[in-house]
Amino acid sequence: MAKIHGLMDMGRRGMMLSQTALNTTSHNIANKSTEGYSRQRTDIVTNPAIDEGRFRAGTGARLGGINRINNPWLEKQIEQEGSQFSYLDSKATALSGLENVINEQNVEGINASISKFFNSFRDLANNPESAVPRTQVREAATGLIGVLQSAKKQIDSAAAGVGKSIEAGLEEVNAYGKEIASLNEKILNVEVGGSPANDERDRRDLLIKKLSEKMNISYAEDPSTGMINVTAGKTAVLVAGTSSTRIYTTSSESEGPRVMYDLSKGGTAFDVTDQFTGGSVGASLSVGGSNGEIGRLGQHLEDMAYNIASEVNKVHQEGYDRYNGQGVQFFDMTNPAGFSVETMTLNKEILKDVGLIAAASQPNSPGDNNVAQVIQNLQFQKVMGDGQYTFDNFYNSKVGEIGLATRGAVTALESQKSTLDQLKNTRESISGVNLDEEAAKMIEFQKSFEASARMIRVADEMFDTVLNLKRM
Amino acid sequence: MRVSDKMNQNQVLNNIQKTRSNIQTLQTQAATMKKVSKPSDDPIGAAKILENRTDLKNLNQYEKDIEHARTFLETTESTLAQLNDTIVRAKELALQGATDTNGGLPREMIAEEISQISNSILEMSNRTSGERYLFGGYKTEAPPFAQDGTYRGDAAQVQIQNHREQFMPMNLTGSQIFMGQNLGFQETIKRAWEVPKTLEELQAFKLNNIEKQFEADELQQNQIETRGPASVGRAERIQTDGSVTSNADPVTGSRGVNIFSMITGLEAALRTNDKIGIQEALEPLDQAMNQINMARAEVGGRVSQMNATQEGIQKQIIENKSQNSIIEDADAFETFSNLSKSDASLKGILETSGKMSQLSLMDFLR
Repeated sequence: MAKIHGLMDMGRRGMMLSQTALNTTSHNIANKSTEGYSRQRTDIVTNPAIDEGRFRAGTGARLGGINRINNPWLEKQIEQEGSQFSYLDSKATALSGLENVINEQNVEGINASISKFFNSFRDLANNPESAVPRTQVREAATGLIGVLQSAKKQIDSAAAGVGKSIEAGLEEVNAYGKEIASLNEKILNVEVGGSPANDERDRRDLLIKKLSEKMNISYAEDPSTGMINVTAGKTAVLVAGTSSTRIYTTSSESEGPRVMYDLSKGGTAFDVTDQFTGGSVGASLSVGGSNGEIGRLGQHLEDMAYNIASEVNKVHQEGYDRYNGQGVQFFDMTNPAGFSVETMTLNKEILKDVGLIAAASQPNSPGDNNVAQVIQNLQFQKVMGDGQYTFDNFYNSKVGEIGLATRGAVTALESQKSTLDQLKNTRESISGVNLDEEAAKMIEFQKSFEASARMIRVADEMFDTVLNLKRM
Repeated sequence: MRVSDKMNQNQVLNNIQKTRSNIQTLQTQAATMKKVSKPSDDPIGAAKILENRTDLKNLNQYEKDIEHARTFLETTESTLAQLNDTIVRAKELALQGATDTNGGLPREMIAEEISQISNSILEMSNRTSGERYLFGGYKTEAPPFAQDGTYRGDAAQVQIQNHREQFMPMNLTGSQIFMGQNLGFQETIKRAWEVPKTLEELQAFKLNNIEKQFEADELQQNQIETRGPASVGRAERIQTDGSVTSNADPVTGSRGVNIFSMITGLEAALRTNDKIGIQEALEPLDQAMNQINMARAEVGGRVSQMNATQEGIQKQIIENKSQNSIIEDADAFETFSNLSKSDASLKGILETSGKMSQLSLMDFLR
């Protein structure tokens, strides 16, 4: 038979339970905007019933546990799509930057300068006797050099920017690895007690996602300990249980930035660069690496500048200047360190005296414009790429290539963004906090708290009634 | 579907973001009236645009080249016209001098005028266009003819580019017009076609020139004046058997006349009362006129060829511009209607989201 005692106990437990539930509600409301937070739910289960003769009477409710509402499969999907998104995002950003270097839709760039350069020789051919077109040739050539050099500088700084972003990305990766390792330890400690470490797990899930945004990783949870081991790329073990290892960059002139991993502390360093194909670091490595778009464009620019200089020089040296002397080098290519865009310059003598520009094919022929004609005709000669392309052709096709790559990355990014947004929406639908829902719960548990308290009062009154029986 | 607060928020933010970025793109389009503002907007198009721009710049340059050559050729033409008039006058005088019944005008007087004509021909032969001598070949900076009529220029024709890889000789050389050398069939001006376009061609061209110079010198030496001072100085060729035959070049059929020595010869004949000599000058005078007219025809031909090329270039420029416009220009109507559409949708998003986020269950409790 039920006892008043039991009644009172049930009331007390009900109050405590409502309090816990309200606590969870409050926690949910407070973390409404916390990144990666999964709403929590107080699971309430019935207390074991007791026998009441032929019947079983309930003994109220108890706390079954506080669990987070979370779909691990969905989290995994978000992690993977997020990695891809971040890869495309980084790639699109880097390529857009590179695109700016060669974008001359609204300004005069390399293409315009090449035209100007060759057209200045056409003007010279029209009037080889005069100093005016000669000065024009000099100005156009200096202009071309300037434009090439500024493009090269921008490309170099883009490459440096990518190197920096890889470095910064790895710093973050290492910080995440460290935090994951420490969260592993906490989760282990908490869950040994049997209750799930909701908030720590939320945080760890978030960190995994962030890590995956930086690079391609693989990870697995050890079901017996609840700890997650993370491998970056294919072989670099970043987090093993409660310990984490650093990865870092080195940079080499020929190969661009490299990612290194120490097999053991202070031990052999392994080059794991090629393993990183995802995330923002992967994107930076692909764009800024030795075979990346940035390096390639820089190389193309060097090739083109070299070919322009050497082809023009070859013809120019066949010619004769205003003083009937054999043509000198038009572009100075005597630098012992070899030719490079950075050091590209006109012949110092020509800078001083435009009379040294050779337009004639023979001495004592001021009206002879044959050399100027051959130089201007270089614009239509297939000089680049083993005699496949003209300068214009070659450069324009590079502009097209960068444009295509950028457009590809941007388009893919947009569709990836909508995929990721969809997944994030689904996640929010499952794990996100809804204030209306929490408000309803608040009222619900406040009422049950009140009712439980009233129950205690009723039991108290019942005790009173019983105790006053003999006086009646 | 369960909707959480954050979901709602993300949705609103995403929509706003999307519309705003859309508006920004459209605004750039509206401001520049270009739909391609960077290569990735239309990669193939962007490369094509650059190609077209280069073409356009080149076409404009060719037009400039043509204008330049036209000035030169027009000066040449007016000089030749004047030269022709002068030779016509010389012939009139020669006709007067060739008869004994010339109204008593002494040949001495006629010789005086011929001497003046000789001087003015020398002046014409040393005309300039700008600072360049018209008839010196490559030697454009010194007067091509000396006082005694010796030619100091060369036989070179300056080539002007009037289209892509298309060249046209601009000048006629003094040796062709005044000395009757290097003429084609029936005194036509031979055009020099070979224009070096590559390094290899340039090297070959240089060698070839040296050879030609050698041949020209040889030719000069083999040219023989067959009569004395009264001779009209036309080149006559001596056959191997020693007999003088035709005065035409056996290969080209050309009868080039050295105008200077002819006029000098005429003058000498007049002064020495050499009637036969004067009469003999009449035919070469006709030949000289023919020679000059052929040169004028050549100049006219070149100008009309250039005009045709220029017309073609202008057409190409228009085509080029319209092609580029199709690729890169934004459709104004479309841009502005899209812009107002996006504007309206942004307003809609902002309005609805403002109202929605104000509502909460909290407001209805108590």
